[in-house]
Amino acid sequence: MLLRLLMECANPNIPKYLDRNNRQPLSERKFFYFHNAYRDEANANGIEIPGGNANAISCKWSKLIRKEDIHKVEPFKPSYRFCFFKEIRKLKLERDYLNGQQHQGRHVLTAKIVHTPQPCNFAHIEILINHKIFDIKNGKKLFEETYTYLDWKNKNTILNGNDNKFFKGLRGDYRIEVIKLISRASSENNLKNNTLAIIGIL
Amino acid sequence: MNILDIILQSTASVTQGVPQHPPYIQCLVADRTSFNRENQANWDTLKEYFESLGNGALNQSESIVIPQETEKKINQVFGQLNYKSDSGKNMANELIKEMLSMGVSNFQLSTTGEGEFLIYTRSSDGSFRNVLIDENADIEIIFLPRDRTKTKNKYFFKEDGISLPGVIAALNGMR
Repeated sequence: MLLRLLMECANPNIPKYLDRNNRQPLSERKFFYFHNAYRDEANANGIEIPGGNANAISCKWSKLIRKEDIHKVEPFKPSYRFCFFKEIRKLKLERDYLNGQQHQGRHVLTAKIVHTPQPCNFAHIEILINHKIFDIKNGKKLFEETYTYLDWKNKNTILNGNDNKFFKGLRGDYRIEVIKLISRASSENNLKNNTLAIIGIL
Repeated sequence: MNILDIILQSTASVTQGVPQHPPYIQCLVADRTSFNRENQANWDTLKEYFESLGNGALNQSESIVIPQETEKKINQVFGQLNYKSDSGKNMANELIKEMLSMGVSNFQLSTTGEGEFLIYTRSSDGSFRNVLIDENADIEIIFLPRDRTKTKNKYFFKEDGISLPGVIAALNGMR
């Protein structure tokens, strides 16, 4: 009963179809390459993200929300940035770490999309960091983890639990890649761009 | 605000009786005709030159007084950040003094989602120049143009020695 209450939206201004209403998250198989991740532009300066992080970037999934309703869900900003899922899947940052006692190897960061519905926003998705470490000599995978929002917030990850130059540089550069990735202005969200994405040109 | 704006503001401040420019600014004024971003070799040489001069200029910023309103905002931002050490705070204070000594006062203070102290300026073309200081006093500068796909960053680590005029010059040199 309590769980059900937590999943219900009490805000009457939110369109009914966005109410979670006890629905379960959708699987990754429902993500198509031409779908969009919409990101509200809470601040014009992309780096100023109060309450936000480089990991678990909150977005809205185009499959589950109408464009005209994006601004109805917090933070109520009329403009947004967006990118195509195909572009998120292409994001990859690779660096060799040779001098450390621990965590030596080839570090590869990629982005993983997960559907994480909220009570008033069934379209809510997060872009998480997937971190792999490979042995440089034989290519064997030594480590793999997809960091959750809580892992990141509590600094319980290799990537943000270490404060040396290598790890600071790696996570800083990943943040820059995410800013570059979610960069299209909402004014570019038009039929032409979406058609090009569907036929695989974008 | 780009580097030429800073030079022009600094030039104006002399006529208003504000303290003399740090030496690296004089060097920039003298060299502005030869300043050419297309020529990377010239730019690197020039940057290296005023970075070395800038080390001497750091002491000059000690006499700069941070305006009360700015200080209030600084303390507010520090309160949000909950830095565990003082080194990040000291670095932020020094950087703000340095900017004020250069005649740059149109900056905003805030935080990033990753818990860094954020100082930024916004240009009329919609671009942002950001300086991020973490609690270990390491610095990252980020140039965020209107076209975000061209966003750039650069790091300055405390363990390598940081020249604050060099940080500001590098940020203003980003296009």
